[in-house]
Amino acid sequence: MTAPAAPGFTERVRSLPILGVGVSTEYGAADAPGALDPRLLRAAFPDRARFLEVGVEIAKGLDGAALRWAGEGLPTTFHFLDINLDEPEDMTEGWLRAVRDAAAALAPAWLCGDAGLWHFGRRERGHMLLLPPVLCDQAATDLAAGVRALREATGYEVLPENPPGEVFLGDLHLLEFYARVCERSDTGLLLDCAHLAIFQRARGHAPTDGLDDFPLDRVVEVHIAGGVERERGGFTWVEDHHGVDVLPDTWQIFRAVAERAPNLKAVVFECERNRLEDTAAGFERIAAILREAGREALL
Amino acid sequence: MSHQVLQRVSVLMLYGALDVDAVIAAPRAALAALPDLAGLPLSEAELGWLAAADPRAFRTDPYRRARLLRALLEEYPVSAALSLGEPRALEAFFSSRHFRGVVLGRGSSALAFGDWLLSPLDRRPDFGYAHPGRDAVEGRTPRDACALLERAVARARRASAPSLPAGHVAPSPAAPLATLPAGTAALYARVRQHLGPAPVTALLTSGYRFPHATPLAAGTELALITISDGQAVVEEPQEWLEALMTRAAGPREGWLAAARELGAEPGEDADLIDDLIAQGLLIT
Repeated sequence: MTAPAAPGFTERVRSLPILGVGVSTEYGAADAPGALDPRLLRAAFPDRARFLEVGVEIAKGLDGAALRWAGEGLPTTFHFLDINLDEPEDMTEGWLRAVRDAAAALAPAWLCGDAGLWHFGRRERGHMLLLPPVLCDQAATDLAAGVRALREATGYEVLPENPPGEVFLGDLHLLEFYARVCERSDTGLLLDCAHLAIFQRARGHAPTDGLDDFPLDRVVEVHIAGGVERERGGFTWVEDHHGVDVLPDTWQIFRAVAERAPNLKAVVFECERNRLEDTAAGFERIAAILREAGREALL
Repeated sequence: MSHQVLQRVSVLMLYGALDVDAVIAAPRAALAALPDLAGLPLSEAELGWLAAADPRAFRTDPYRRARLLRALLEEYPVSAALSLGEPRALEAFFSSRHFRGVVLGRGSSALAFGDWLLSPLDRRPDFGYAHPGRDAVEGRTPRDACALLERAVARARRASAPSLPAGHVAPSPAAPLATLPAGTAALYARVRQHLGPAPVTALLTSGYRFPHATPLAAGTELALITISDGQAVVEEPQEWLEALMTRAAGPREGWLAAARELGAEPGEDADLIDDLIAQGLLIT
């Protein structure tokens, strides 16, 4: 007798719900003056806030806005903000216990989050970094091991996300790197279109370079967010600003993915610190692209 | 997993803990110049990735140090107040082996900051004291005395309780007894009060009048440190409490006997130990 093989990603992804278009939040974001209130957005435009992606830093916990949303039984995803997935020692039992508790309160469809360096040393205040991993083969293997470990420890699907950055070290293209992470951990991807646009510019690529060779059936969720071009000391880069002015590169990537990612189930417009009325144009364009791509199920 | 080492070197560069231009120009030589970085297991390919990076990309965030330093000042406000009257001098921490050790290992930046404050090895020549030399007591200046206390508080905040055998009792590592130069607790309380309810804001306020350190007397004192609602409480323990808090872990019966030896009546001994457990001073 041998135990039946665990279902692979292709099978598991079928059971993940279609969440549609949603918004993100993190601790205290909704309480900032002029910030987006997810429940008001949902009341006014239900199709723009079908779910809430809750950014969770365990040391801070869940804020009232997240708890009220979850308390009404509305759909959520759990976006971690404090785990270095390629460091096994970072996944302490205490952190895992707190993650399970927070997940029990949110009942998320899945866990997701940037697969990069959130902090150095121990998890302490003032360390928030969020750097991309070194884009090399061994790092892909180590991140994949962390994704598997977190999935097994929590029972939730874990979708790694490509982080932003100004410095990208390593010999792989970001998409090639995350294709390896997904294959080795047998999971799906949260593709942040804005972060990918940042990488493509930093490396001198066109916005959609590498997508033709990427297994787009792995993409389960995408992020759209505004970016701001910055310059300092003659160096130019794009800051992941989360404003409402989305760069053309990001829209181009989103359109390409919406047209070709068969398992896409969730689209987040990361605009949590903006006024509701300022977000309208972004949501309208997301909807237009999804309609044009034949993805009405996400609307 | 040398990619992790490479990433941590890039973190040091982002914090300006290494000379970015020198590392990119000649990575191996630049790292070898620091004894603690000389033996890092980085391949030629990885060093090549560093050499190919744009040095300006490491300087895009002018407030990276300030954010971390602010978090550190929240834990060491009194030490900072007694340091020079100029918090920017504390930025020298980022060039220290203590900071590099935190980044390259899995250390605590708050504990490393305390170690650095108390280490004479990494002080810059201009990093002096509010009252250099004059107030030194048993080798400790008032600033160092308060750094000892604040480091003990930082340790208490991060202490994890050991797993004890069933029926055993032990002092909580989150409620330590600290041996300090005499007068430290009073000085700490006075400066902390001077800083007000928002000490970091006070420290960073232009023109803020920094407190002067009180000369410390000879000798030592014991301070019981507890954390209540996130705030440190520093008290001089009564003799009976000191006697209990310096006991080693052991069966509950031994703790009850010790309580009776210290004056508790039969019946009160259990109440006393249970009360200390409820207060978080003892653990089971």
